[in-house]
Amino acid sequence: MNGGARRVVSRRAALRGLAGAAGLAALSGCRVVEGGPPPNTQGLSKKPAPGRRVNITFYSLFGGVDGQGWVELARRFESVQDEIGVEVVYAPPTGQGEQQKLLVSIAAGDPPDLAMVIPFQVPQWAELGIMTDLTDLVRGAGLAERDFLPAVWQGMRWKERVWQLQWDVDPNFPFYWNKALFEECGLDPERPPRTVTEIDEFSRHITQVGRSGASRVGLVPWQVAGFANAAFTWGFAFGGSFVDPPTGQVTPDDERVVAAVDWMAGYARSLGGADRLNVAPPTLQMNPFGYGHMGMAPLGPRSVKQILEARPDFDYGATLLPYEPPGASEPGAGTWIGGWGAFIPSEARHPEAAWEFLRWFAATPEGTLAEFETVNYPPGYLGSPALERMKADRMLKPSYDAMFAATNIKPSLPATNYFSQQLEIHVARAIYGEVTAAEALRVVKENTRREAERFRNQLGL
Amino acid sequence: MRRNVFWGLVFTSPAIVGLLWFTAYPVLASLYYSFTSYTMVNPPEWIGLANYADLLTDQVWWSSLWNTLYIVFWSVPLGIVVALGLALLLNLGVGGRPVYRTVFYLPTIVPAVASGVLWMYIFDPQYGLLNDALARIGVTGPGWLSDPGWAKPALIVMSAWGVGNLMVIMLAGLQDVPATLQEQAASDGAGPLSRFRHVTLPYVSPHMLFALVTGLIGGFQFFTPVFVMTGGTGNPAGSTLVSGLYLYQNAFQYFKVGYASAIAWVLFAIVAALTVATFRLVGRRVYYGGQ
Repeated sequence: MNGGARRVVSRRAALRGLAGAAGLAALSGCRVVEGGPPPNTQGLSKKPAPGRRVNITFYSLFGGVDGQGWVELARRFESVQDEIGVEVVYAPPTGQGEQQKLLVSIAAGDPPDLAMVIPFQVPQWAELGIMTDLTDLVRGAGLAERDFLPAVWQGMRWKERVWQLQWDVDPNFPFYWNKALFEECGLDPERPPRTVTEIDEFSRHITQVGRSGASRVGLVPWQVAGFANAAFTWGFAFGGSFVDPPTGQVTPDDERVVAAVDWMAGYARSLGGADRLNVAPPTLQMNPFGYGHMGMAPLGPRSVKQILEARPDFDYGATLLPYEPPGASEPGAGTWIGGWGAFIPSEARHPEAAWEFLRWFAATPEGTLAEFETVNYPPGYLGSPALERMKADRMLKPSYDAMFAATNIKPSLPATNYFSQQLEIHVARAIYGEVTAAEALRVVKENTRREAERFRNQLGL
Repeated sequence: MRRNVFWGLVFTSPAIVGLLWFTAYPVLASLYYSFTSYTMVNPPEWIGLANYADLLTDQVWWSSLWNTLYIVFWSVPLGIVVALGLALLLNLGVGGRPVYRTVFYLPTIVPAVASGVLWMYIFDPQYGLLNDALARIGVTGPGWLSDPGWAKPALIVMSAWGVGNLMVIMLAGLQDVPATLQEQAASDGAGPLSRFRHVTLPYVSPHMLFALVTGLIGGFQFFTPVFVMTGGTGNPAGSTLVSGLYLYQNAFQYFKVGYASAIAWVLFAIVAALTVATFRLVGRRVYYGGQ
């Protein structure tokens, strides 16, 4: 070091440098997200066609192309008849699907004529008196159990009455595997697991756990649209039951449900903990399965579509969800039906006209096909030509198979929202190793039963 | 004079009516609902103090209150320290100060939802910036938002990002400190630390009290980031289920509007009590100048 060339840095210069570095650090946070378009709500609402005898209001809760699809679907309905106009109002849900705008409009006595509902919410909403009983309308239209998938028909009813028509069937879940990764790990790329025991066996070939966590995994059992849905999926796959039909009481502590959650917790332990999972970058665009470090995954068709849009060459196989004996006896036993239905609020101004639109898009061949072509969700109506299209489509065929294999739905109870939230918290606690599966599910049962009792007392049921 | 009052009221009536209708009425209505069993879609039914009594035995409520207190306890002082630190740096008279001020203020104007999504990227265990930076110095970062033990600290770290407003207020306070006082202290032999403690701090103490009180109030209303980052669940394992989120769940998921109103009023009582206590304990130590 040459003493003569030594440069003295003043305190001010040092502080200036420090402030600059801190400023750059703060700015660097602003560079993480690449630029993108602001949320676009254009094309998600529409006014009714002019000159109609009656105009109905419909709350659409879908954004993006799905929401634009609903606008197009309403236009198609207006084009096949000239009596009813449809005003589509974009009313987005929040969080776990809460429909604040809808609930506030109902509370204010000014509801739309038609709105969306998640099937498992039907008991609660029906008991609250905010839904129109559709039983006579369904019967009058000649519709019956034979016209719908069994699980769909089950979800449309509460206490032997029909409250909604389910226009969207979400089979949870077809089971996918990454053929290239299977081959790389010495597994037969054409042979998926049939049972949960085989999932474990295959996972041992695939999983790699390093210092910073698992960088490659066979499966992430709890990444199934939340911990509650994971409990439902694998609980059913183990042959478990979440409700006792005669009493209507929840039974999350059913021994096979406990076994399923225990299996997920054990799987997490084998990876070094549920939080030590490093198989995909954070993204809102593509399911982690698409990054190629995950061997198997239960997925919905939209996730598969996203993956194929980003990686058209992604080589995958699809089959029915593996099961676990002795509780279940065949693949697909754990599949359950979710999705969306539509209902007529009890204070709707034009229930007859709303029924015409509802029946058209949810339970007629031409209307369900129009829905499939515009909104692009699988229908629950067995007479729909859209089902044949699904069967012939490579990407949708796994969902088609899962739909017809499914016999389960989420427990439909007045306290199902609360039940799901309890599962969300306590199943997570079991998977993160804070409590045992049995302890977690016992707490869920006790809390949910107390809440169900409170709800019944509140409404005098 | 009377004529002036009349016209004054006429011109301010939109604000007065708005305040009464959109603020006073909802506040009073929620107080009434807190004593009722109310589903939002059916008429409320008077049940006295039952909602408040139920809160005493509701484990989820206590857990959410603990989560809230934990976040408030750490995030408020951290916010004050960071804001004061940045303000001190900006007060040194370095060149390009407006640029730095803009840079530090920028996060404040990022919408809460966008900021929540941004931090999900930063906290990602493997691909996030934070763990990447830690890895460069040989530290294996935690799971942050995917680890029940680290999710709350992650939210606390995140809260320090939005201290821009507070920094500007602190900077205004620092610029009020008389330069002559600093010079006198220096000529009397006071070092930088001593001058900061005995000259600067008293002058910014009213601003710090303001930050403390508004921080407490804001902390108990903590909602949007956790709602965005967890999809309204309070995951993982309920570790980020704060009281505001639990209130929301009760109102819009479980149709317990009366119960949610009771939660709101208990939170209000806690905040009011803490604010009074803060003024009593800290207020007398604040220097307002000229005293």
